[in-house]
Formats: sequence, C-alpha cells, structure tokens
Amino acid sequence: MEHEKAQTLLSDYIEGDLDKEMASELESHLDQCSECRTVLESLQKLMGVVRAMPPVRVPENFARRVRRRAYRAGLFGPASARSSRRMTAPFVGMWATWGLMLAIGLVLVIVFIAQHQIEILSERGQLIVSAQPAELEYLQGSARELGLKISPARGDQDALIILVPKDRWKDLYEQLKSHSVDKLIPSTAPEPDQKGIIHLLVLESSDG
Amino acid sequence: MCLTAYGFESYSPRVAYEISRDETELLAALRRGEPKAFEQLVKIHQDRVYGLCLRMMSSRSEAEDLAQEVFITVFKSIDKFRSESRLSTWIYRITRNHCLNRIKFLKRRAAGKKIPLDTAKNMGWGAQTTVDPVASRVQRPDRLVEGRQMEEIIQEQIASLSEDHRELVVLRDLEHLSYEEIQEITGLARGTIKSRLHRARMDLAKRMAPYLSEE
Repeated sequence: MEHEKAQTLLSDYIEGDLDKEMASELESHLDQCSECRTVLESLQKLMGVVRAMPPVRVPENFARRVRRRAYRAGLFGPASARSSRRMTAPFVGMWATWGLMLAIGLVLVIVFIAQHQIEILSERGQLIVSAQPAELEYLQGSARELGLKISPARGDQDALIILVPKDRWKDLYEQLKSHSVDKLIPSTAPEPDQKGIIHLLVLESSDG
Repeated sequence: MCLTAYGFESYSPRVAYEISRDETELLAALRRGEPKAFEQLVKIHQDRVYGLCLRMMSSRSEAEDLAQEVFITVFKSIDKFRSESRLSTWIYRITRNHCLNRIKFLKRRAAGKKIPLDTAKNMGWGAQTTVDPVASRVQRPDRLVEGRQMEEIIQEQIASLSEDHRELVVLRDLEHLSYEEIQEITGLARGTIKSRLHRARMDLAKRMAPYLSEE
C-alpha cells in the first residue's frame, strides 16, 4: 500500500470502518512505516480524549428563557393561549388562593378579561395579576428598568409585589405595551391607596 | 404503534426509520401551535441543541441565544417538517445552519469593526494568531494535562478549526452522530465527510500534540 493512501485510511481504521482485506494491507504498511504509526498513535490519542468529553449541560432556566422569548415573539396566538389556560386551570386556582392569602386577604373583585387571557383581582390600591411565567419575568425586568420597588411575595419565589407610584403607572404600561405584552395589565390603573401607591401583585399561573 | 417513513437523499439509499407514537403526538401538538408542546420540544432537545451551538460557537452567550433562536425557528417551521428524516436530525440541521449563518455574520461584523484578533480567535471565527492562548495558560504544555483543563483546551482547539472541519469533528466525535445523520444534516456525500473529517482530525491532532504527549 502506498504511504499517501495509508495516511488517508487511518481514521477509518480507528473507527473499524475498513473491510478485512484493506485493514490487513494497512497493517502491513504500518509494520514498515514509523511515520504512519506515529500519526496513527496521535489520532488514537486525540479521538480518545475528544470522545471522552462529557456532554454539555444546558444552562439553568434555559427552558424558561426560551419560553419567555417565544411569548415575546408572539409565537402563541390567542387560540393556543386559551388552550394552555384551560389545561392549567387547577394551577391557576391554587396560585390565586396563595395570592389571596399573601395579599393581606383583602381581594374584593375577580375580573376575568377573556380577550387578555389573564386573571385580575383588584381593590383600591391593589391589583393582582396572574401571569404566565414568561410574562411574569418580563414584567419584573420592565419594572426593574423603571426603578420600581420589587419584592417577592412571602414564601413564594414565583410571585412578585411591585409597588407602582400612581405617576409611574403609565410608564410601566407603556413599556410593556411597546413589547406587545399589553395583555398583561389593563390600560387603566386601579385607584392608588392613600399614599398614591398601587400594589401590583403578580402571580405565576403555571410553570409548565 | 409506530409509523414508518422513508427519507429521500440523492447521495444515499432510502433510509427507513420509525417515528414513535410520542413523537407523532408531539408533532401533531406542535402543528396545532400548543405552548405545552413547545415546552416539551425544548425539554427533549435542549441539551443537544445547546451543546452543538456551544461546540460550534465557543461562547456561552452566543450559544444560548442561538439555541433559543433554533427552537423558535423549529416551532415556526414545523409544517415544513415532512417526516423524511428524524425530527432530531431535522432540528440538528436547523441548528447547524443557524450556527454557520451566525459565524458568517460575526465574521462580517468583526471585519467591519476590526475586533482584536485574540477575541476573534477565542470565538473561533477569526484569523490565527501566533500566540497560543492555551499554551500561555498551561505551565508545562509538554505534560499531559487532565480533567477540566483538558476539556477547555480541546474546546479551544476545536474552535480554532475552520468551520467545515469543526462541524464534522463536533457532529461525529463530540455528538457521536452516525455518518448517515451527518449526511442528512450537512448535505455532504459520505466520501466527502470521511475525507474532510480525517483532515480535520489530522489538523486537530497537530494542534493538540503539545498537550497529548506523555511525560
């Protein structure tokens, strides 16, 4: 076997992809050619370490971030949103119960805005929004950008309380609207409390 | 119950494969645009999609951005999937194309903005520099290095290969795909894949030589 040809067959030889006859010819050449033996050895070493590389692990919360991006990209139309909501109804109920307990137990009215696919409970100065995880995360980011005070609802890392001064409500709404998430909150703020603060409690409605 | 489909590729005979019932149901739900199906799709394929992106791009932020894009593209184009290949292979093909497009884009941008060479090289899409950043980190590059350090070295050296070499090393030696799958993903003939992969390995072996030699 010619030296050049032998060199091109080394990968196939390592992978066991040569027929018997060809493998035997190559082995005869290897017996006589130290250069080819050196190359074979280095390829074997290389493939050994490369193939032993551990698989890559996806970053934490990757799935959640993809989902948020998908929502922001408007991937799921109203029909699919309705479908999703029906499937997660028991979870919505559970979160709403938690929300009621955590929000000082003062919720008076439950308003379901069908076209927005969200659940809103409100009273004077307080608005409770049940949002999809992606929306919740985005709302949190927007509020942070506006310098609003955000605190996690007690004992629940997926629920937020955002304190929105009356005069900042419009900013928050506009920022969300500019990213096509105006379905998250109503366009008009509830009446603020006596200190002029709207307590926006956002609950995660489902985590998939 | 399984469905059988047949792939059509000019460079290979028809390949029969089976679609599991789960995959059939997942495809149907994806075609209905169900968010839950999207989440399931991500769960099933996230490791391999992200892994391929990371191996190709050598940057975690680029890899994550790309992987997200891939899933959105897959969801949007699911109607174009004709079951002529495995769903995973089709997703891989989209991932590979996204990676190559991004590399091209970054190269163009680097050319326009004159990104420093070391940055470009670390990203795996720039010109080669004479100083090896890995060698400068390893105190005794003539010694066999191990563990995590070795992983980093391999990753950096793979990133320094040309794209057409890199993708084959990644698909075959890191992702352990069969030649048939690589044919479907890259559209290359089997002979081309084998000869190119061999050249890629030879190139990589040369770059890795200082770290693989025995004490």
